Amino acid sequence: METVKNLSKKAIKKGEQAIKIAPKTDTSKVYELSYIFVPTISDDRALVEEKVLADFFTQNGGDMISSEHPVLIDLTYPMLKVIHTHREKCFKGHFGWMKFEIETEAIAAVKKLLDAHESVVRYLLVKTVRENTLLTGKMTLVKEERTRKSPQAVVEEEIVAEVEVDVAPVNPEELDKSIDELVIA
Amino acid sequence: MNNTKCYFTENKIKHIDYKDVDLLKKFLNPHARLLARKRTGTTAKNQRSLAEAIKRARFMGLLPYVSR
Repeated sequence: METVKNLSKKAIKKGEQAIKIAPKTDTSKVYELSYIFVPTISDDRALVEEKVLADFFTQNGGDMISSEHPVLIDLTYPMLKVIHTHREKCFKGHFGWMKFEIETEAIAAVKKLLDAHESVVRYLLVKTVRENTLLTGKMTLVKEERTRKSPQAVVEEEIVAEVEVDVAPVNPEELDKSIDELVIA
Repeated sequence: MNNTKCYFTENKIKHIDYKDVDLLKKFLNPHARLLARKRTGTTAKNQRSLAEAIKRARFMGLLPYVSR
């Protein structure tokens, strides 16, 4: 069985061939690639995979503008990744992005690389601008807590809320007096 | 969000980024559907870019297609 790294190298070789065929022009544009790696790989492996992608762009005359390292996030819906005959359902993924300037002819090779990549669940390649488009400069990729509660938990909370009633401290003498008044009445 | 002025024009936001999930969430209803311009007050041009950004975020699993 081939390792992920070997497959990535193979994909890079394919991409290199495609670039050699493509004619060189002066038209280069700014692109942004965001990707989701499979959750089964470790954080370190995700960083290695990111480096492989970044190296691929630089090898093909691309200039890196900015990037953000992959972070393991909860996906809002499960995604399916088919590796050979195995279908893997991903509920999480290492999400990262990179912005780079590259010739338009080389983009086909980039797509080919990403399509063949076994660790990439999904990717998005879009044209963008050189300037930073994020409001805060960085993404706020924080693992979100599940806000939706199970019906049982909601019922238990309601019961607890009903039980917890503020009772003012009662003086025993006053209590006796009020009981006596009630008995007399 | 219930404004008559465009949020993006007021804050001088030229490019709406699909990775700004917290910002995009303001323009979604509890069912994760995009709010109408009537509700948000965004300009037609910004509403189109907003819709595109939300669709990109959905594709990348940053925002849900449906909720509740």
